[in-house]
Amino acid sequence: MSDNKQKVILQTSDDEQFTVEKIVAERSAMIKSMMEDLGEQEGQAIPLPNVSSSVLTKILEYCDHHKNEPLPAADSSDADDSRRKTSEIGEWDARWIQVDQEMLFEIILAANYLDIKPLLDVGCKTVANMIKGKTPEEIRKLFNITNDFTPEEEEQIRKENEWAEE
Amino acid sequence: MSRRPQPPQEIYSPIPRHLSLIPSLSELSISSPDADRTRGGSSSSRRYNDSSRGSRIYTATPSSTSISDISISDCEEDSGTIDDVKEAKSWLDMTGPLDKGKGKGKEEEEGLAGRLPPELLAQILRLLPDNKSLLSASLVSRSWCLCAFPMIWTRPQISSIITLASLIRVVSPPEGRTTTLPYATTIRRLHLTQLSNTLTDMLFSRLSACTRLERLTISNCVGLSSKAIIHVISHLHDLVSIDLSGITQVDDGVLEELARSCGKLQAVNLSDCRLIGDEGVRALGEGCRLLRRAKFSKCHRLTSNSLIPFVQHCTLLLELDLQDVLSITNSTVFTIFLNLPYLRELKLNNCTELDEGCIPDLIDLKYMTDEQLSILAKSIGLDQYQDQDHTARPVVEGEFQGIDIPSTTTALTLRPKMNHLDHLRVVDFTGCSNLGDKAIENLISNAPKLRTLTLTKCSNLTNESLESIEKLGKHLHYLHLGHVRLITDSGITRLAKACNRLRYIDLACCDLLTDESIMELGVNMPKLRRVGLVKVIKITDESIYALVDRYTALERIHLSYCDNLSIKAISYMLNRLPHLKHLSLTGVSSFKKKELQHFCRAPPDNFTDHQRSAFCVFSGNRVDELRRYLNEVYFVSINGGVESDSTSTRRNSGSSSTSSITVPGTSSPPFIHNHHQHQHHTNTSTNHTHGYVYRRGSAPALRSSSNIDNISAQVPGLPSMAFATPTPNFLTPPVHDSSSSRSHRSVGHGIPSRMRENHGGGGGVSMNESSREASASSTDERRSNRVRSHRERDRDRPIGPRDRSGENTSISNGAERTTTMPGGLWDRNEGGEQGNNDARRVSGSASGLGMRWFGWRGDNE
Repeated sequence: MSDNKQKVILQTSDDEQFTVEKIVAERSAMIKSMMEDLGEQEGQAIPLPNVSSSVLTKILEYCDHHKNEPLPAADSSDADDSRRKTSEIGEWDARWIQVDQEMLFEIILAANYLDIKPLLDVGCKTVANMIKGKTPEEIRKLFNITNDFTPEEEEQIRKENEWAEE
Repeated sequence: MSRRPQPPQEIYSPIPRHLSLIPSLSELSISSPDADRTRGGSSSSRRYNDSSRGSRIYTATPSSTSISDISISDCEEDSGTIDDVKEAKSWLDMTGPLDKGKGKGKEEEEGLAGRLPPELLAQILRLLPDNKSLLSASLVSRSWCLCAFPMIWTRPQISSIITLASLIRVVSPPEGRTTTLPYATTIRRLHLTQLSNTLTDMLFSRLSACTRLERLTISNCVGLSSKAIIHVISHLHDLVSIDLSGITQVDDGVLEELARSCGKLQAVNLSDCRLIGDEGVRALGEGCRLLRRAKFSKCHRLTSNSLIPFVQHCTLLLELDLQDVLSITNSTVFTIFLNLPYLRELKLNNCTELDEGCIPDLIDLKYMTDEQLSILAKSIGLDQYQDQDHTARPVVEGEFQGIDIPSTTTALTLRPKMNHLDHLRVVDFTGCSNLGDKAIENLISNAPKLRTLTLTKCSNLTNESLESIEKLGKHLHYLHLGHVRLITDSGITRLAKACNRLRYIDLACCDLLTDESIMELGVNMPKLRRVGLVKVIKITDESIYALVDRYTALERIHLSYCDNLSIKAISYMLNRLPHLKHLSLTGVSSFKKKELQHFCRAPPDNFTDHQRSAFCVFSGNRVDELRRYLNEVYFVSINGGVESDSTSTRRNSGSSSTSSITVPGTSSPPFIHNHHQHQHHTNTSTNHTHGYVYRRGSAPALRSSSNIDNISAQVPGLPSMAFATPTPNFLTPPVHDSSSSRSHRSVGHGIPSRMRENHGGGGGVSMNESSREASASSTDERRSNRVRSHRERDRDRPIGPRDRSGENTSISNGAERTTTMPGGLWDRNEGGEQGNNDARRVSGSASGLGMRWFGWRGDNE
């Protein structure tokens, strides 16, 4: 299993280099396929131009904690319905994701970019939980989103969709 | 539209929600006039004028990625749809008010949430639990709205007619008004069955605005006229699936409209549409050649005249339901087997016209000359159904080399397109009472991978059919042979050996069968979950013991009218089967007892008083309650206090195994209790705790059936007990303590020698020993104790056998056991005396060891 002890160098957008175990880095399907493409090139850093060092530090924490779990199957994307039902987040993950909003969205974006499905899931669930049960105004406030509807527009959309409220 | 059949896929698998939603985004853009010119490429097919702000226009563009495309290609086009979303996003960014805030500045101002890529936002919104949250989200901002509204509209949840009315008000607004967003064309699926009693033509007709509808379910909406249905479907050119079952007004006109307008139709359910006739079905076959699923159940006017051409045209059919289409003949079924290489499921219930000759032997046909085929076609009556346009017939599976264009079209009609129906899994011939063994033989050779075969009431079939079915081997999972009365033990014995992966078997009313058949089932079928033995009147307790001896996965057992069964045997069985959820014992006299029927579920309303009095079916929790009652009250009360001198001896022997610790994990409730007690006596309290913990931890592993199999494989049929004939005076007044084990021992005599040998090899379980000991030694006080604690603990614990450590234990004890078991150390009297305790002990040991290890060791006594 010396293979697992192999190290990989990751280079962030702010030019910081991280040396991590291969097994940790492979949580990211993107890095994994990149490594496969590049082959075994010792000492070559993998550039991650979309990820800052602070976010990567955080994400590596997650990858390290989950490094021994099986990687999700490539076709797991249609487990949708079940995901919707089980919107619980693991205990460790829940604690880990207690970060400020900026970081939360950075994590989601990075998880998406790095293709770490379970992490993206955790992030999305966390945001969904924040949205759940709130009014539109509360949501805007929470995420600092500008309301770009005209009042009439907003009212009409509300009316058009009110049948769905049950 | 292309009529050319494509290779079939499981199109009917539900489309992943995210895929079904996102594409609709792609068709949508919100653009200001300025933005409109930047994206000149998109031809706007429809414009939604926002009445409140004339300057903004919502445009719906037909997208290449329509849902139906996705569904057909099995939803692999993830990347494509995401591109579309990005596109939508880019259009969105160009919209009016936002423009000023664009760029870095806006990001700072808005925070990341405001500029999340749409696909990520969609992924988040999809996790929202209810429409209310989605509605809130859709009102946050335009970009959020674009992500959220398709989730509300793609598959609108319509629970009442009022909801539908307000939805329809939106999708078909009065002349001159438009909607903010293209709601009507976002709707992909409508399921209106809940409104079956209230849906009227007036409302329904307006659904013609939902022109992108792909799935429409209006089964049992009897208020609809065929005129309204025709009107709506004439607009639904993307329709993939329609369910019209139970709408008696559906007539040939509807089918003709489907054929005309819905060329993409892949599934149609016309069950119980009794008005439809040959004309409509013929048109449907010509117009909808992509059909994969067609149900015509109870359309009794249909005949071979339409069904044969239909089958010849729709060669992609996966599922064909012709239940109760009474007049279909051999020629129809013959055609089905010749033309449908992808067929998975075929239902022909009650087609009594079918006989021996309904199924061809495809291999035979392959080697026939054209001349021979022509003669055959005439004899079956197929010569009139020549397929006119050869071009429309797909060339299927290259297996058939050397097909020269036959000299006569008649021969072509009969020339099969494949050697086998490799996909055929489910065949139902229920009630085809004239079906002969030859038909089954051909069926099996044509469809070597059949999984589910229902031959109920095919009363002409004999053991010969069973010999054919045997060839299915491990492929066969479900077999229904109810009322196939001619079959005998020898047939079932062979079948059981060959088809050992059966999950379900029903032999109701096969009254020639005896214990011998059931023993074979018990020995050979590790995966058996459900067994139906209603009115297999010859079977005795021995069948019951044999059935649960080796494998304990059974969940449903039907034993009604098997009047030879005793309470003791049933009790034993209950304790062996932790997953049992259903047990029917109607008409079994030993269960006609008030206190037992107390646990039985209520008889159906339409039963007569006489039927009610006989009704005896236990299901769900009631099974557990019955088991508990029998273990803790019934036998206890019959036996009275049970204590005996033998206890101490036994205890000693039992204590030898420290492994008892492992037992708890496996135990069923009663047993757990016993075990627990036992530990108290023989071991230290430490053990006890340990056991408890273990049990908890092991719980998740309990369900693994492979584990079970392994165990059983290693320890061939353990319980000699299992085969014991019940002691005659089992129910007689109090016996003292018992070693019911003795009676069991005596059982050994009753066991067929083959089995006995097996048992000899098996290991007794020390665990059992211990638990048995416990029960034996328990005083009344302790017993009550046990009951209480048992109740407390067992509630939340999975019951059941399977514990690896238990297995080891049992094996280690094997030697001991061997010596005692076969010999039958005890004489009958003794056995009888202790019989009542038996039951208790049985349960006790079962629980302790995970019932699987019912190890009765003779030696201890």
